[in-house]
Amino acid sequence: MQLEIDNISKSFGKKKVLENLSFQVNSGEIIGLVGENGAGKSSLLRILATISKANTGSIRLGEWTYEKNRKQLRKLVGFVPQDIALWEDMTVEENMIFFEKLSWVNRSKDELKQLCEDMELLKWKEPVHMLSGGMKRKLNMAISLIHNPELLLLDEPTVGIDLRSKKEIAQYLKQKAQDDHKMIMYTSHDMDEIKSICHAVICIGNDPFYENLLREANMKIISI
Amino acid sequence: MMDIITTRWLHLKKHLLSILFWFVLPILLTWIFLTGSEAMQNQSQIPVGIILKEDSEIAIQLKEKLDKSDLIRVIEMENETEAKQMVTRHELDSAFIIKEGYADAIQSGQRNRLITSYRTDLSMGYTPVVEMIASFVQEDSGKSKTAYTIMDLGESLKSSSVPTYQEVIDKIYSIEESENLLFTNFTLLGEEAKTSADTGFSLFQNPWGLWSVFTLLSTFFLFDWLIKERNASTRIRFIFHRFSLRQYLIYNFILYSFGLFILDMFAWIAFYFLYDEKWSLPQFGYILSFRLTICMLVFLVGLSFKKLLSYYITAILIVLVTIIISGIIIPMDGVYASYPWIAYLNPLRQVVYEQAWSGWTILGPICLIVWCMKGVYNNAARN
Repeated sequence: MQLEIDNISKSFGKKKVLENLSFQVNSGEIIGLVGENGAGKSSLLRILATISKANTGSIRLGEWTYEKNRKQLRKLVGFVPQDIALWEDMTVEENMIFFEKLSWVNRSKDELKQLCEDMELLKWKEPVHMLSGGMKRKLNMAISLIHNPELLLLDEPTVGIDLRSKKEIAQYLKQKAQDDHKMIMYTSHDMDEIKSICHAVICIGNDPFYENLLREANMKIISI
Repeated sequence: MMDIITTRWLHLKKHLLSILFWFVLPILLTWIFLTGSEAMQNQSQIPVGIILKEDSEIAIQLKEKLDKSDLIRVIEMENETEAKQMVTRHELDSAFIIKEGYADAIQSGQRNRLITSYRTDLSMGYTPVVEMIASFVQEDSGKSKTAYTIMDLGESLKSSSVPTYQEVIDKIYSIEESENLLFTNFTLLGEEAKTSADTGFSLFQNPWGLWSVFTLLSTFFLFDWLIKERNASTRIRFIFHRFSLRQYLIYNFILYSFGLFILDMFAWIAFYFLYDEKWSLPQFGYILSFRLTICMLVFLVGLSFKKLLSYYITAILIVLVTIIISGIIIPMDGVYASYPWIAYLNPLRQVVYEQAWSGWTILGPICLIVWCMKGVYNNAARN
């Protein structure tokens, strides 16, 4: 499967956020999105997650186009929001069951537990409000993976968490891309993290500061 | 729907106590208010002791007539000495002894020294009670006199069918009843006559009135999930799920309406045992219509709020306005006559006035359909 983005633009009123953006992502690739705040990283992820629409251009995921097949695409896309989107008064188990019941696919309780364990999220019976920031981030991601999406979009998934959790999340994402051939796109301000996980990076806004940083780090920059 | 029930249970089980509280509250408060008002009414009535020295029908009727008065609480006693002591201790305002031979005296037209009474200087209710008894005695005496006059006339005219004393008395009672059915109405020229349907309503006249007010309030508080879940950070996840947020909310609305209706049936069972509220198909229909209507109203109100506090304040205001337009605090007869649509805006109309519908029964579904259609168009535009 391939994600093809062709010449998309997005503006909010008079402010142009994305302009004539084109690139491709293949199965098994992890693509990092960098750029300064307000450059359009989250806007791009939201377009790819079908939450908002591009003003111009076309996007295709496998056989489905974003213009016509949004409902089918939503079964293939997993989106991890920047804000923690969990029920704080429920346990890890209850959160997983809650969203599984609303999901497109049926997963057994064992499968859900395994999904959490794969991410080193072992506090199955713990209420969410008792979890650390890192654990909450992992659960936030695990819920987005219940329906086993082909394209996983993560909006700053590791912001504000400890180094250990960061490493565990990075390790999990690498494994997911490598073993399950999933496409992963995510935004981060942490260059070390980007360098350790991503196969290539897109610099949104073509900021020379970020481009220099990426070159210094010998990162593959996708030209947009 | 099973999946929605499971997700709802995951939420509900975290707040079981508070939900149970709101479920039980309408029945409990209705019971407390009705019991309280009854107790207060009893306390405000003047306690009067009655001793019947004979058990004639006319003596028993006199006691029953006094008992029907809202001002008096009749305490039937056996012992005259005890009654006297209770009057002395001010446990009774006054005591009246209906002597033996009362019925004979009334029938013979004698009206003096039929009743002995006891009172103190503090017997504030004595004079009105005496006047009341005097008027009843006068009434009975008049009836008796009429009966004897008719019987005498029959005999002097040598009629073949002279009625008995009891037959004449029975006839008097039946004429009284039929005359009481006549409704006298005074209106100014050109003014429309008011019908009995315009008469005010008291929430305390049956348990359903009070219950409907508390049920409306508890429904508002039970539906706060709508504000919490609709505005939670998790709403973004519904884009990637089988159910859209709108569908999820609608399914939960149906689930809540059904669940609350089942609980309304429990309220009915409670009222059956507490107040002898009998089962009837029309009443079932009114409760069903009432439940659906208020759930729709509360759901629509909930959709307009993002903050819980402002929702709760609005809920309380709506309940207060509902109480006012029910005509409990200020008489609404005149307002209803000039603006009849206000009566239809009362969400308690089905239960309070035993009507099949209120304005909200029609407005609610229209608004819900508009809200659902808006979602379909929005999704279509977004898709």
